Amino acid sequence: MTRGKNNDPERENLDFEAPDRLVRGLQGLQNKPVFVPRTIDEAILRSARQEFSKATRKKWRWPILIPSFGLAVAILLMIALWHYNQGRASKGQFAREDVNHDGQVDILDAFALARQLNEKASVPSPADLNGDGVVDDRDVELITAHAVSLGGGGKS
Amino acid sequence: MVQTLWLDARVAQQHKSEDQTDLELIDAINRGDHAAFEALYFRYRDWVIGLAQRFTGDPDTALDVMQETFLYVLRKFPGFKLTANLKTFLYPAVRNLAIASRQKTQRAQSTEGELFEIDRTPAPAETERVSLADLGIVVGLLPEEQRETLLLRFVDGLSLAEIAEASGVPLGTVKSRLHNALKTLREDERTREFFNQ
Repeated sequence: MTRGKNNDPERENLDFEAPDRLVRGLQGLQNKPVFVPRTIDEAILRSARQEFSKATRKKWRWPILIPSFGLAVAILLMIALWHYNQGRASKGQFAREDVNHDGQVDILDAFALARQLNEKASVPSPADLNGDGVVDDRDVELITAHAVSLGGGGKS
Repeated sequence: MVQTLWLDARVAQQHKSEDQTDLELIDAINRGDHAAFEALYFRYRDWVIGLAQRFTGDPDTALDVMQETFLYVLRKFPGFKLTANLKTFLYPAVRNLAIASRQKTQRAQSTEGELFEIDRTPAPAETERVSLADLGIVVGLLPEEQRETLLLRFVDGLSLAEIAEASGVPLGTVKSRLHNALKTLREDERTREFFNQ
């Protein structure tokens, strides 16, 4: 084998190559294959199966958990909103003149109160607008006057 | 006494993934395909155990190292990304586990020529025929880094870049080690004949 110059590309390749005879010799030096009992193969593959089944259980969990959580939150919000609306109505957050609780004080509220009085239905005490202790036609007149003065109805 | 083991036909049939590349097998394993892991295991098992035996010098310890290596590999999934030859990933794992195992069992092997099970009787001085035993002796006397580089290149078939990555050293260092190893073999009268074609 000839030697070349240090920067000779051919020599550079030769420095890292080995003749086939040497390569065969090196390969021939290797130890004889080790006998691997089947039990060892099976133990390793069994561990692999266990790891994979653990990963699969974790994998399907998230696509179910996240939408379920979202749904639960939505339901809770709806219930809370319904309760809020119910509570708002029962706390009389509407004006006393707004007899029909439509958010407007207009002639319809006067009609509603008059109808209740005619039907002799129980009228809630907030309808006693003149504070005389009785809910009667005088309160209906007050609502009518209020509705007219607001120019056909105003916000409750 | 070690025995030669050959895969039986039944085992070979089970590995229908033999035609898949390492990258395809890795992708399948990341998706949870157990059969792909099995194929990868049998593809590299013998190489890993041979490498382990090179480091430990003992077949039983090599078996332990092989098991630990594949359990280590298993823990990398899912999410393992193969960026190079799988051997470059396996080599440092096997080496480190073998060293740890060797220290644990306190059966440190000499690095001078005991890793090869060959007849070490020196060849008669009058013969010019180079024997495998002489090659084993000279290779065994090489510094461990040079010997490993030589074997990784010409027995395990790794490229110089792959050896650098597997060994965790610069490419220039790998070239230097290989150059020096070949130079030693070329200049030693017992192994010079291997360079005559």
